[in-house]
Amino acid sequence: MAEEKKRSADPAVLQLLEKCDSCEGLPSTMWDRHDAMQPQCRFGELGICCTLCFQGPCRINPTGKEPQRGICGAADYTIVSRNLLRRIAAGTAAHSDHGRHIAHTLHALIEGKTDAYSIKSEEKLKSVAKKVGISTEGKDTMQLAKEVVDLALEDFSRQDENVPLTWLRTIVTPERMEILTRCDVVPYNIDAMVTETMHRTHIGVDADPVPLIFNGVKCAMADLAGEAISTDLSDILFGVPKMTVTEANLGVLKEDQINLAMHGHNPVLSEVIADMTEEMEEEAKAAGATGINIVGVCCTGNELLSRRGIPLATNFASQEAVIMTGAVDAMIVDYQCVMPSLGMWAQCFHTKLISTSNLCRQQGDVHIEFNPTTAKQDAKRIIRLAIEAYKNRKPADIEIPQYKETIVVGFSVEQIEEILKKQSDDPYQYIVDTLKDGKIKGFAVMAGCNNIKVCHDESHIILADEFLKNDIMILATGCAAGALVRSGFTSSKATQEKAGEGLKEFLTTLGKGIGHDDPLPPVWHMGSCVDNSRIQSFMTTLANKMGVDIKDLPIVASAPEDMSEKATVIGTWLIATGWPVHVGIFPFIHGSPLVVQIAEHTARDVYGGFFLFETDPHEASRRLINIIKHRRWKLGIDADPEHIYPNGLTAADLFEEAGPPKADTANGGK
Amino acid sequence: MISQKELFGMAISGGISAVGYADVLLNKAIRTHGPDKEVGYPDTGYELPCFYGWTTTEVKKLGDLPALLGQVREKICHEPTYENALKAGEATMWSAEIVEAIRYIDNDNPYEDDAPPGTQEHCGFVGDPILRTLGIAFVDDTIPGAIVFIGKAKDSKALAKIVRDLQNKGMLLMATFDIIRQLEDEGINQGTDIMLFPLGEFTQAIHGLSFAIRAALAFGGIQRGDREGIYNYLSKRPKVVIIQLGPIDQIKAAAEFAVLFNGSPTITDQDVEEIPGKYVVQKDYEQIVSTAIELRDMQIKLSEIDIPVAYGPAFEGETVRRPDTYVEAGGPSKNKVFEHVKMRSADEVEDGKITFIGKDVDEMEDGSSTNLGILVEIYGKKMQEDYESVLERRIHQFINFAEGAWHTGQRNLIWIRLSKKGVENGLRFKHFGDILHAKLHEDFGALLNRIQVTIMTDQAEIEKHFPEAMKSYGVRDERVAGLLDEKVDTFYTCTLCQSFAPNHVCIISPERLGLCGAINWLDAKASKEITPTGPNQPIVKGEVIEVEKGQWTGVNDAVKEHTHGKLDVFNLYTMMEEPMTSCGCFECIVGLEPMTNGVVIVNREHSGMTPLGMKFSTLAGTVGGGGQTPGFIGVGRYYLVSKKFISADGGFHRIVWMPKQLKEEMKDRLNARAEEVGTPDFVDKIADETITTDPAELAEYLTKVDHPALKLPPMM
Repeated sequence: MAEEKKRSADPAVLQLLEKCDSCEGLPSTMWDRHDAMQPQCRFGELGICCTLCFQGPCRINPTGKEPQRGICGAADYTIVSRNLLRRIAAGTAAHSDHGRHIAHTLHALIEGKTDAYSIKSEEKLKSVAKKVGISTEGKDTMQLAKEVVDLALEDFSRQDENVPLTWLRTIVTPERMEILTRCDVVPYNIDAMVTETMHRTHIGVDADPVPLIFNGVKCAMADLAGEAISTDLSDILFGVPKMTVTEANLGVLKEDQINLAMHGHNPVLSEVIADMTEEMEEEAKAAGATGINIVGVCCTGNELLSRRGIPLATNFASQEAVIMTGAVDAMIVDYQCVMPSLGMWAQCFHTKLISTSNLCRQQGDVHIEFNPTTAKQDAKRIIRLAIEAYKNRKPADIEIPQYKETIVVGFSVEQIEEILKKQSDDPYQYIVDTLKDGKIKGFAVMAGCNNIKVCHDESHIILADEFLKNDIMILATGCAAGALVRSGFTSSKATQEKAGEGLKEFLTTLGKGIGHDDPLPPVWHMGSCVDNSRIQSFMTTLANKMGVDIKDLPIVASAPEDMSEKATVIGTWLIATGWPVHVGIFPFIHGSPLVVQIAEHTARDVYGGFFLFETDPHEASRRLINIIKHRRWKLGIDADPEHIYPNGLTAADLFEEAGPPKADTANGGK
Repeated sequence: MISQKELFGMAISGGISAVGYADVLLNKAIRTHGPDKEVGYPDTGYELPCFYGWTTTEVKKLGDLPALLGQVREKICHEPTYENALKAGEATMWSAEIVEAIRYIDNDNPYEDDAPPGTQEHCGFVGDPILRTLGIAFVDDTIPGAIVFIGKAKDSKALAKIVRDLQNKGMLLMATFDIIRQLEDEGINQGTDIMLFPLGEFTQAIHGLSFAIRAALAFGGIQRGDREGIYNYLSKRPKVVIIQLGPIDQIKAAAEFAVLFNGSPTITDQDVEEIPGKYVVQKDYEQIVSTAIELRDMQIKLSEIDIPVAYGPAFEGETVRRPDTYVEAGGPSKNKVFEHVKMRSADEVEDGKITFIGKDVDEMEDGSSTNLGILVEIYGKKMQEDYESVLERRIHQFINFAEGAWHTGQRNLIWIRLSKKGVENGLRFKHFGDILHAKLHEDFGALLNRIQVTIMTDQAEIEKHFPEAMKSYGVRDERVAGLLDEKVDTFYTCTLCQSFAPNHVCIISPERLGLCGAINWLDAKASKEITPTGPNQPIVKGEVIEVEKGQWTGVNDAVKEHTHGKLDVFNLYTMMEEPMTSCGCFECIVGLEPMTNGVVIVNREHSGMTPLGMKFSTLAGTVGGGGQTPGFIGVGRYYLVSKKFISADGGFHRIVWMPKQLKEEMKDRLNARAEEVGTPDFVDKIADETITTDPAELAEYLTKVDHPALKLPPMM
C-alpha cells in the first residue's frame, strides 16, 4: 500500500496507534501486518484455491484459461462452494458451541453442581417454555428450567431426521418454515449439520453447486437455532437486557482502578467475574487501587453492556489498542475473535493475558481454566492475578485516550415491546402503522465485524448516518454495534442531530411514553453477534402481524466489515429467511460466477433474501435505502417514481439516457 | 455489454443451478410424499405439459421424475456455445416444471397468498379451459401473438403504454416479477379472464411456456414427445415473444433459452450482443411493440378505434360486477332495450353518421339504470337480408371488446353494463356508435358500403323504433325455422383453425354449427361473400351415401381435400362412426357413457368430474387435434338442441348428464327442444353433478326417473 490510508475512524484508537508508531521495540499492529501481507493471494480471495486433499493445492484460472478444473475434476463452482460451506460449518460450530456451553451451565445449576449462577429471569424462562411448547403449569422454576434445557440439548442430539430443530421452528414465520421445508434445508440436529457439511465437502463427495449451497443454508439454519438457544438461555441465566445508560470507548478505563478487560463472546465467565468484583474490592484496595473496573471488548463486552451496563472499551479491530493503553491489568478472554497477537502485546506491558477456555489458548497467556462448578473460585483466581499485575504497572506506559460516549443500550425484544406497549396495546401493530404512514421507512440491521481491509469503523458510521437521515431505524449487534456506540449513535443527541424528521418524531413519542423528555436513541443496541436471533425473532413477529413474510418487510441488513466465519453463516441464514444482506468485504466466492449469481439473484428467487456486494459504503447505503423503497413499493405502501430494481439500482443507474451508467461493482471483483 | 459468449455462459450457469434446485426439491418431495405420489396441475389434460410436449415418457407420479431430470442433467456442457445454452434451456424448462409441480402437490392454488395482501394476486398455472376459450381468437388472428414480460420496466408509464398498445392489437399477455406490480400501479387490470396473466415470479414463468406447448398439443394434434413436431409447430405459432426488461441474471437467461429451445425469441432493453432473430436488443420502448411484431411477422387484424378506453379481445371475457357498475341497461332492471341491424336502401344511410338521442352516462347517476336502443342501419351492394342477424350477433363481441363495457343477450333481451372505471375514463354509450361503425366496416367491409348508427336512451325514441325491430326478429325466426339441412344443397367448410390445427375441418350445415360455437351456416355464407377465398368454402352436398348418418359424396371430397388426405369419410349425424373431427376449441364434449347407453355432455367452463371418469381437460386431450375418436365429439353448444344432434344415434334423448350450469344457461332452448320431441319433462331427467358423477349411481338415477335413453337401442 503506497498511499497512506486512514487506519481508524476512532480518535482513541488513532491516538494509541500514533503513540506506538513513535515507540521502538513494540510488536507489529494489525495494520502493520495487513500492509506487510500485500498483495494478498488472489486465488484465495476468489475462493478458487482448493486444499481439501494433498493432491492439491489446486487452483482455477480466473481468466477463463486453463486450468479450469482441479486435479480431481472439481470446477470453480465446486471449489468455491465447498470452501464457502466449510466456513459456514465453522461459523455454526462457533455459535452453537457457545449455545451448548450456556446450556451446560444451566444444566449444572439445575443439578445443583454450581453456586455461581441462578435463574435471573423467571419471566424469560416461562416465555421461552411457552414458545417451545412446554406447559408451565404446576412446575417449579428448576423443573421448568430442566425441561427447557433438555429440549435445547435435544437440538444438539436428536437422531430423527424428520423432526425440525425446536429453536428454528419457533423463530420463523409459518410461510418461511414451508419454504425451508420444501427446499430441504430444515435441520434436525445442530451438531449433525456441522458433521454433514464437513462430510459433504470432503474430497470426492458433493460436487454439485446447488445441493452444496443448500446444504450450507441448512447448516446456517442450524446456526440460527444455536444462536437463539444462546440468547434465550443466557437471558434466563443472566437476565433480559433492559434500557441502561452507560459509556463506551477507551476513555472508560480508569487509571486508579484495577482494569479488567473482558474479551470474547460467552457471558458464562464474565458474568461471574462481574459478580465477584465486590468481594474482591478490598484486595484491590490493599494493592493500592481505588477499586475494580471491568470493561468489555468485542462481544463479551456487548453481553456485559446489554445486561449490566458495564462500559464497552472497544470492538474487534482495536483489541490490541486496549493493551496499548498500559492501563489494563488483565485481558481475560473466553473465545472467538481473540487475536493471537495479544500475547505479543501483553509481553510488552504489565498486562496479564488470561485465557479461560481450553478451546482458546494463546501463546503468552496464563491459562486459568474456567468451569461452572468452580466458577466463583476461578473468577477470584483470575481477579487476583489482575490485582497482582496492577502492582507492576509502569506509569510511563499509561495513556488512556480521553474519549468516551454516554450511551443508551439494552434493547432486548422484551424491552422494545415494553416501550411500544406504552403507545398501544398491540405493539407490533403500532410498528406496522408507523411503517405504513412512513414515519419510519424501514429497519436496517447493522451487524458483523471489523475488517482491517477498510478503515476501522468508518463504513459503519457512513451507513448509519445515511440510514438515519432517511428515517430508517437501526438495530445493531456485535462489533457493528460496538462501532456505533463508540461513535455517538446511541444517545438522544444522535436522534436530534442525525435522524430524519419522521424517525425523530417516532423516537420522541416513544421516549415520552416512558417518561423521558428526550427521544430514544436512533440505533438500538440489541446485543452481541449471537443476539442477531433477537432481531430475527422481532422481525418474525412483525411479519406475522403484517400477514407477510420477512422477504416482504422493508428491512435490510448490512455487515460493512464482515470478517469472521460466523458473519458468513449469519449472512447465509439472513438470506434464507428473506433478508437483503449487504457485505462490504467480498467473501471469497467471486471466482465462481455461478455462485455469485446465486448469491445475488437466484437466492432472491428462492428465498427472497440476497447478497449485495459493495465495498463503497456510500453506494451501499444508497442501494440499501433503495431496496427498502422497493420493498415498500411491493407491499403497496409507496409509489415507485425512481423505478428501483430489486437489487437497489434504479432505472437511472442502468440506462444511459437517464444518466451515466453505474457499473454493478459486485460483478467482477474489486 | 454482455457478449454472446457471456450470455451463453449465464444460461449454462442458470441451467446448472436450475437442475440442482429441482433435484433438491424433488428428492425432498419424494422423501416426504413417496415416489407414488401423484403430480399434476389442476384443469389440464396434459399432465406436466412441458414433459408431455417433449418426452414420450408419461409423468404421473413423483417417482417418474428423477430419471427424466437425469436426462437433461446429463446433457449439460460448460463450453459457452449457442447449442450448449439451448441444452441448458431445455434443462431449465424441465427443472422449472418440476419445481412448480411440487408446489401443486395437494394444493390447487398455491399462489393465492403469494403477493402481499392488497396487491395483485399471482395466478400461477393457467388451465386448459382458458386456452380453449381463447382458441378461436388465436386461430383467426384476432390474437396475433403472445407476449411474456420478464423483469421490470425502466418506466412504468411507458410499460403501460406498451401493454395498452398490445391489448389494442389483441395480444395475449403474461406478466412476471415486478412487472405485475408496475401494471397494477398503472391501473391495468390483470387476470386469466382478460388475457393478461399475472403468472408470478421465478419458476412460475414456466406456465407461460406451458400454455404455448399446450396450444400445440390441443390444436396442433402434436403427439406427446414428438420433439420435431412440437418445435416446428411452436416456431410458427402461437407467435410468442419474450420481453426481458431490466437486468438479466442467470436464471432469466436460462429461461429465455428454454423459450428459444421452443422456437420463440427474446427482446431486451439490456446491453447484449444480439443473436439475430433470437435475442434482440430494443432499448427504445416506443419501438418494442413494432420490433416484436416484425420479429414474429405477426398479422394485426384489429385496427385502432378512437375511444377513451382500451379495446381488444382481452376485455371480451371481462365481467362488470354489480358493485363496479356505474349504469346498467336491460337485464333485471327491466328497462326497454333492443339492438337491431337493418338493411336499408342507399339513400337512407349516411356512412359514419352516429346519432345519440337522450341522456348519456355523464348525465346519469352512479348506480342507475336506463333504457337503451341500438339501431344499426346499413347499406351494401352485396348485402342480403339474411346477413342482418349475422351482423347483429357480432354487436355482442364488438361492445365487449371495450374495457369497462359488458354485453350479454341479444335482440330485445340485451343486458349491458358500463363500469365505474370505464365511465371515469370517459366511456359513453355514444362510443358504441364509433365502435360499431368501425368494427362492422373492418369485418364486413366487402358487404357494406354505408353504416349509420343511432344510440338512444330516450324512451319515446326507443318506442318509435321498437316495433320494427320486433318485426325483424319475427321474420328472421321464421326463415331460420325453415332452414334445414335437407332444404339446402350447399354446406360450408370452416378451416379457420387450420393455422393451428392443420388437419381439421368443420363441415357447417344449417343444423350443425361449427364446434367453436362461433360460426353457423349463415355466418359461413356471409364470410364467403366477404372473403371469397377464405376459410368458409361452399360444398355442394352431391350424392347421398348415408341418409341417417349424414354422409354425402361432396362432403367426403371436401373432407379429403381439407384434411390433406388424412381422412376420406365423414358422418355428420353420428358420433359412433367416422364422426367429425375437432380442432381443440370446442365449446362442449359429447362422450358416450356405456353403462347407461347415453351421452354425457361437458362444457369447457366445467372443471369438475364427469361420469366418464375424466374431467373436461382430460377428455379434451383425447378429442382434439384433428383426429376422429368414435364415441367422442367436440360440438358447439347450440348443436345440442338441433334436430340433427347425433340423430343417427338416437338424438336428443341420449343426453343423460350435463353440468348444472350449462343446463341452467340453456334451459329455455333445452325445454323447447324437449317439447318438440314430445317429452316436456325430459330436461329434469338429465342428471348433473349435484346428482352424481358416478356411472353406477347415474344408471340408478336414470332408472328412477325413467329416462328415455334406457329404452333406446344400444349405441355400440
